Amino acid sequence: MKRIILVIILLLTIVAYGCTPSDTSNTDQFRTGTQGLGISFVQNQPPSRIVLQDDGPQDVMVGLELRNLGAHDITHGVLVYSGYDQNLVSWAFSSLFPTLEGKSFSNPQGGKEIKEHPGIINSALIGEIYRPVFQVTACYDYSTRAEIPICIDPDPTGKSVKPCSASSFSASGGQGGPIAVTSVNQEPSPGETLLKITIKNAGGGDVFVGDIGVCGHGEKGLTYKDLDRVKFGSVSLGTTPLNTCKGMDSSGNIPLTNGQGVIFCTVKGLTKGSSYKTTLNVVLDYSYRTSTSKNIEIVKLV
Amino acid sequence: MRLIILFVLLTLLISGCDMITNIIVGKPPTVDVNYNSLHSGVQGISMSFAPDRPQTNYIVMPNGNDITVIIGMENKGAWDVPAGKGILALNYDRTYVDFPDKSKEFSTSEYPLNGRSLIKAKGDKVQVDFNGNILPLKELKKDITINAVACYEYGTEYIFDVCIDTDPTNTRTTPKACDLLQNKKKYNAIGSGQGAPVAITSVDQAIRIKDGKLDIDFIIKIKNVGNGKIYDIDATPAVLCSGGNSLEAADKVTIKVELADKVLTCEKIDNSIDNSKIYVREGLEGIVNCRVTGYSTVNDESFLSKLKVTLTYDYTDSIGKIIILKKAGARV
Repeated sequence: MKRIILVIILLLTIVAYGCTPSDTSNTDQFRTGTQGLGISFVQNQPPSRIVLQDDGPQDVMVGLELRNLGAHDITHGVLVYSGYDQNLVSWAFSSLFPTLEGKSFSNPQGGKEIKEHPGIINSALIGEIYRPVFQVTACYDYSTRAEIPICIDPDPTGKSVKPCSASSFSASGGQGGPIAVTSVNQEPSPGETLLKITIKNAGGGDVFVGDIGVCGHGEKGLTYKDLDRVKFGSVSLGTTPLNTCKGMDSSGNIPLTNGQGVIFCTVKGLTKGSSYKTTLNVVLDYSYRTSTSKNIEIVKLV
Repeated sequence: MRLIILFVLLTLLISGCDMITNIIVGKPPTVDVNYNSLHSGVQGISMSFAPDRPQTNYIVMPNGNDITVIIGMENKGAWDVPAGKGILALNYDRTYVDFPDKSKEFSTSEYPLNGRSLIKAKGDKVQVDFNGNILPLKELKKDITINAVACYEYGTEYIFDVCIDTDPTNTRTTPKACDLLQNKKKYNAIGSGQGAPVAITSVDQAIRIKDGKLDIDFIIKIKNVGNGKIYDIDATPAVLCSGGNSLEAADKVTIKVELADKVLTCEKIDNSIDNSKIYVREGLEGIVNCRVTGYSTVNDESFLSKLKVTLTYDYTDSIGKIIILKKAGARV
């Protein structure tokens, strides 16, 4: 008898656990994560140690694996290579960026491309050892489209029964891009609600606005004015665009301080009634720079 | 008990599999190539007397005795002693002993005394023997010292990883493969030597930008960290070991500095000797400033290059052994 009761309790626990409503805050499983482009070196391309046996030129292949780990397609970007002395090693300075699809229902892993660049080591000049760094820097255009479930309460002081309460949203998992909406705080008042939307550069790279061409080899590079800015795309509540957002500079960009930026949007003209659930859509456009490097040791056995 | 034995046997079999495969297939053992450990230490040629060659005590017969001196020489540094450029000489009181061969070459074309290299973890060893006579002793007892002096051509070579920082003041936002200030810290004080008795003790670097191009200065400090004495490479070891030419040639080191494929122009604080040579006085550091102009431009990305510093010189070092001579039949 005791066993039967124990089994029933166990089953009930499982059923109860299974019945707990799941977190519906992010139903789109592809719009998660805080990464955009992922760059890594293909294993042993180049190897960590290259051993030369003579003074003849030595071919070395550099392989890069580029993966779009976010949810936005990459169609425009540059790759720049640096870290080595051109007198000792000949490699490409830069290369064209392949188109990489973002994660989607039809492509849940995101686009992936292997780029290979043959290089030549000038063995005669290497001497016994040379330890360059092979650094790859990528600049690309990207976008974050966050869909945040929120509850709008047009009558916060009302005593009627409310299907949902106007609480704050907080998330650190990202929305499939290196710039993430980390929180949405509400200040509801009768007829209107103030939304404080906080965004963060969570991708580990540099965010900027402007032409990605300046990242290219021999170009002037990004200035501090270009960095830490995100272009405000749009904010809409359901299908209604919110045109009352503040916090952008005169160029319509959101400045980030210590990697974080805040915009304020007001939802106006809410008709008195019961609270309701809807989706806040935030679109942020930006360019992103990320880099990776590999230390190489070239040894000549003499 | 049987289970334990079985377990041990299985473990041995599994661990031995690689070794067995290597033997069967003929796979060569992995070469451990470590440039930094190869170019470390402050020794060049190490000398030691063979046990009882010479003995500590000799009973000298009325007609004298035979004496054999054997000296073991080992190249403990990372530089090869060129053939004919290594001389070992004996110094002794000729009233009491005599050796027909007073000096010998210890690095010949047949048996060169090569140093450590990337493919050889230890330097060469050689034994040099001198056969001579103990002369009839007038005193009852006498203590004498036999000194072995090595005079050899040697060198110090080291390749430094240097950062050619095209934005040394960090005014640009571009991620850099290396940073001048960070990289310089590695060579502020080098205490471990480079596998030779004359060591590079620090390498400082300064970058100036002129018309968009980089002028780079390398300030190199050099010190005698061995127990011997430095001489100019032009003073041949044979002459040095015979006692001539030593004062004028003392404390001079020839320097060559190359950045990748470019030989740098060096300036010294003391300009009394020709351009490729600097004074490294005993107990003091020799300082040299080597410059390359227009090596890269500010539009390039920062990169790591290699600075090869080569010092060449003659070096002398000595060891001694006291031997006690007693007259046969004397009660002392």
